[in-house]
Amino acid sequence: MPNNSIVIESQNLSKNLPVSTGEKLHILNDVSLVVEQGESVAITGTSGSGKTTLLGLLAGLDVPSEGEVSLLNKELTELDEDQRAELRLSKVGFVFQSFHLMDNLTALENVMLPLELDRQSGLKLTEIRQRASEALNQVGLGERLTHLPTQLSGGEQQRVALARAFVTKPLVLFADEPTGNLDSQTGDEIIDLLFAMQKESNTTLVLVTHDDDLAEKCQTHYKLVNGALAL
Amino acid sequence: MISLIQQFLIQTKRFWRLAETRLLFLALLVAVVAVTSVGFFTDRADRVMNAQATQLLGGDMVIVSTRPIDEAYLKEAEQRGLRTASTITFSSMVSRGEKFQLAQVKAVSDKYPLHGEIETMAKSGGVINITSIDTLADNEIIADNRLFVSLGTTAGDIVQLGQTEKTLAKIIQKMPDQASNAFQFAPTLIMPIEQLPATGLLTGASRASYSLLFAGNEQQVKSFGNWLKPKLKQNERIRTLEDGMPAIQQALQRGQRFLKMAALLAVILAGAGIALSSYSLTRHETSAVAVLKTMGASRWQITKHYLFQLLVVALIAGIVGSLFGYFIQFFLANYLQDFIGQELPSPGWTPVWVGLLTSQVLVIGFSAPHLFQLVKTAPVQILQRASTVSKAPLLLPVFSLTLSILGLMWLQTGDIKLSFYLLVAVIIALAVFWVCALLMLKLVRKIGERWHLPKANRRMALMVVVFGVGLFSLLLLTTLRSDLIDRWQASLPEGAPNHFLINIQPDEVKPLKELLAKDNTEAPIYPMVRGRLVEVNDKPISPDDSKYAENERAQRLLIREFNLSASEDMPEGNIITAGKWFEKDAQTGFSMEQGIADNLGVKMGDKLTFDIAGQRLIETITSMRTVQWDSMKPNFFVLAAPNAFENYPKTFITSIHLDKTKTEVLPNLIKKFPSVTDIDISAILTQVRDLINKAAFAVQAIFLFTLVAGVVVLFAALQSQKALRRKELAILKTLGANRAYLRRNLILEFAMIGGLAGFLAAVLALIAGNAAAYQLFELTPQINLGLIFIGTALGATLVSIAGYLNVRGLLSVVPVSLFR
Repeated sequence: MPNNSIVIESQNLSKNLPVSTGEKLHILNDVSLVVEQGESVAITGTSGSGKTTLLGLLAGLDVPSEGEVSLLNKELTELDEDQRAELRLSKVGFVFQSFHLMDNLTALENVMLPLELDRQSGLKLTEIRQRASEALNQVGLGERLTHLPTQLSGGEQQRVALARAFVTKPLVLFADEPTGNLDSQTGDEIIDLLFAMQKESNTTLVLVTHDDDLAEKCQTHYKLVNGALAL
Repeated sequence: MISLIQQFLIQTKRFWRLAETRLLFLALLVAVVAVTSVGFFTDRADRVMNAQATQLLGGDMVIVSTRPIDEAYLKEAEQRGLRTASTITFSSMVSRGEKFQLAQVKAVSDKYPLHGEIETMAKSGGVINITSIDTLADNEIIADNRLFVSLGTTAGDIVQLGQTEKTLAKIIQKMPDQASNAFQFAPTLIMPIEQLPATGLLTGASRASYSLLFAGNEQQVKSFGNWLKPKLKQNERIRTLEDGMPAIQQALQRGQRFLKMAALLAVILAGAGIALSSYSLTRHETSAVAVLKTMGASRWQITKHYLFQLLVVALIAGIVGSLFGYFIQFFLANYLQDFIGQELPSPGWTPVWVGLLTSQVLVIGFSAPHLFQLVKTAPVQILQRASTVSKAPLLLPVFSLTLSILGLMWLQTGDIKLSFYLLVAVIIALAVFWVCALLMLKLVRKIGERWHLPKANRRMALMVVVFGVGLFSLLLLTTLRSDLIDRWQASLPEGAPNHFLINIQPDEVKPLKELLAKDNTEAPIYPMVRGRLVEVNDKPISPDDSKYAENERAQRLLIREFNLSASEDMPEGNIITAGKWFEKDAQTGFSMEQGIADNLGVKMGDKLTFDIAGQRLIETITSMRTVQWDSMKPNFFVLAAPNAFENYPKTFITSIHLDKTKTEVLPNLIKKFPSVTDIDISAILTQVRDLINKAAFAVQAIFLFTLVAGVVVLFAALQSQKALRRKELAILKTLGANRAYLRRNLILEFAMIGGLAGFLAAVLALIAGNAAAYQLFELTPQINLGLIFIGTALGATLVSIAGYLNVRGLLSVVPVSLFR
């Protein structure tokens, strides 16, 4: 019987990479964790501790070498790349350290993108535009709809990324070092915005960071040391 | 739901914002403009030529034979709804009183000609009317003006033809298949076929050519042709449109093919631009694809998205390119009007389809391998600090590129075998350029080590190759266009003949000689007799013989008549390679040109039988000669002993040099000898040079596209390394380099690429030009240093300007960007 309140669950998750000597490099070892609906979870660790790899595995962006992981009650190891993508569609959002906005799209178009991808939503173009501009209003960029990413500051770009992540009202949001490329003041503003939006939409948040202060803002805090989890 | 049109507009607008897309579009546009401008022009010229050729043939399909043709063919054709006509052609004397003239008699049925018309006049220079054969009265015949002049008759006079008297009713001004017989010296006479038996001219032994003409729609003609082919007897041959084309049209057709190949070269070079832009696009879009995948986009959705966008860009380039091509072809058509000599029909739609197909094939063939790699991007890459393009296996792009180039060649030439040869030639040429470019870049780098010249890399070599090929085509044609003809003319001796006098009658030889001697323009006068080679060593010989199956030249020689002559002295410039020249007053033997003997497979001592207007001349080959064909003097494949043609109908030919100052000589001569025809070689040479100039210039204009393609490739190459270059410039600025220094370095780099490309192009053009000069005219090689200088300077200037314009924006990069 699936537990509906559990959004992410991993059991004995490991990730190894072959190296040139023929040996294996162990990046993650036996990671087991559970994340519940609406919970905010931080994963911290030093550089190379495997936190980003864990994020990729939990979000279904990569496949584990061993172990199991389920997202939204679907066992990811049983799905192929396209099935995993379908699972993320409109239900999972991402925020990246380098923002990763499409530089040929305006702020509005960047935010419209996830809604356009979800054909089954049946939304009309005007509705998509409406919802995207509302999302941008919410992050304080209502006046910058037609700006291209190159015309925006780092903080503004991350706001657009937040709007893009939340526009579909996702069940889960994965954030990878969301303030890593920002100065501390802008970083704080972004984090406040992120948590406010997360609370408002009751989205589950999995946040990877090396910043312990930021991690403390989350309900749960996991530490990764040499690929293994320590609470 | 978002409608398809909305989706199309939104996505196209977004895709267009990528610099790589715009470059891709530009490369496709160049290719389509090159293909369609040539395509529109050749399509129009082709249609004119086909119409002309059917007129020249007198029908859509013609069967010719040396024997009467089976009437069953006519019945079958009529049952199939084809229109039919028949003709019988032979040589015969026509006389009026004391005057005789050999004429080409053409007896034709009522419906002749099936295409085209017979234009006639009542008197020379009079009103032109259309004459149909069934309007001629019982004993009326028509003939061209030369017969009227030589017999001294006017329309309505009676002449003797065989056993009958005929009325020469009208002068033929123009008739079908006239142009294909431009070098037939006997005047043409046309008579209704019903009148032929009464003349008694046609007996079993007569040498005549029988033809059946058919006309109908393409389907009817094709199906009848299929029915007919297996039934044809050994001496029956089908003549098609191509046979109906005179030499100038065949030259035009070759020129068209050359134009198409020039366009193809632009397409292939533009292909390099497309491949490079696609590569840059792939690199640029890698993280976008990873982001789309994190958002839930499937591989198929991403494939569809990019493929759709690429095809849309190709479609727009196809449409816009066709429009440009449409306008450019008007310039081509205007410029080459002289070649075609008549009004061109309005352009058709075919080139548009070809243009659209070309751009789609290009985008699929050159971009698809990159697209497949792009779609494979793993979503997890987005979390890795440096997203990388997955390594592509080499086989797919090579296969895809080769196949699409071959496909495009096939599309352009319509000949798969030729396309294969072309592909191999292109690969070899590109390999030569590539190796030379790499070697030169290495050499320059080594020489210029202390000046910190940019390091030679593959991308630089690619730019040298692409620009090099573009410049090579332009420089080679410049060399061939003027230099070659000038050099050939300069190689002719002072006082080489510049006029041919033909159609000299036997009784005119003596007074003409005297006249020429008075003007100090004496030259040997040769008799000329037309004969068909019918037997070798008493065995009948035919173009259908299996030994000539692969030898088109021999087949042509056996179908047509030879111009035979006789001479006491060996013509100047001829060299005996075997046997001995004729003794004085010799009556027997043939002296044969070596090349033609080899072609026909005959040797010293072989017995040849020529049919000369029904009489047979049988002689043994007693000597072989080589001939200097470009001597501007009458030259003959077969020369007989001095007195061999005493009793044969003949005319005479000579060539003379007329000084420009002696303006009165020619008018006097023509006045005194009205039947003599003057052929002004210098005028023909000027005309030929003019035509070659124009044709080469047109081809050069198309080659300009290759240069434009080169610029696009340069832009694409620069685009793909823009981020790296921006970083390099920021580092250099951080280290203290000022804008002037960076600008100088950039210009130096581009000048080096362009200069090397130009140098390489000029050297290879010089080699190719000299090889052509030697092959065509046996001219000694010349090193034109000017060409090398011009090539190098042109390349350096062009690439410097284009390259600098493309990257100058980067000079304002602020060093602090490194810290962002």
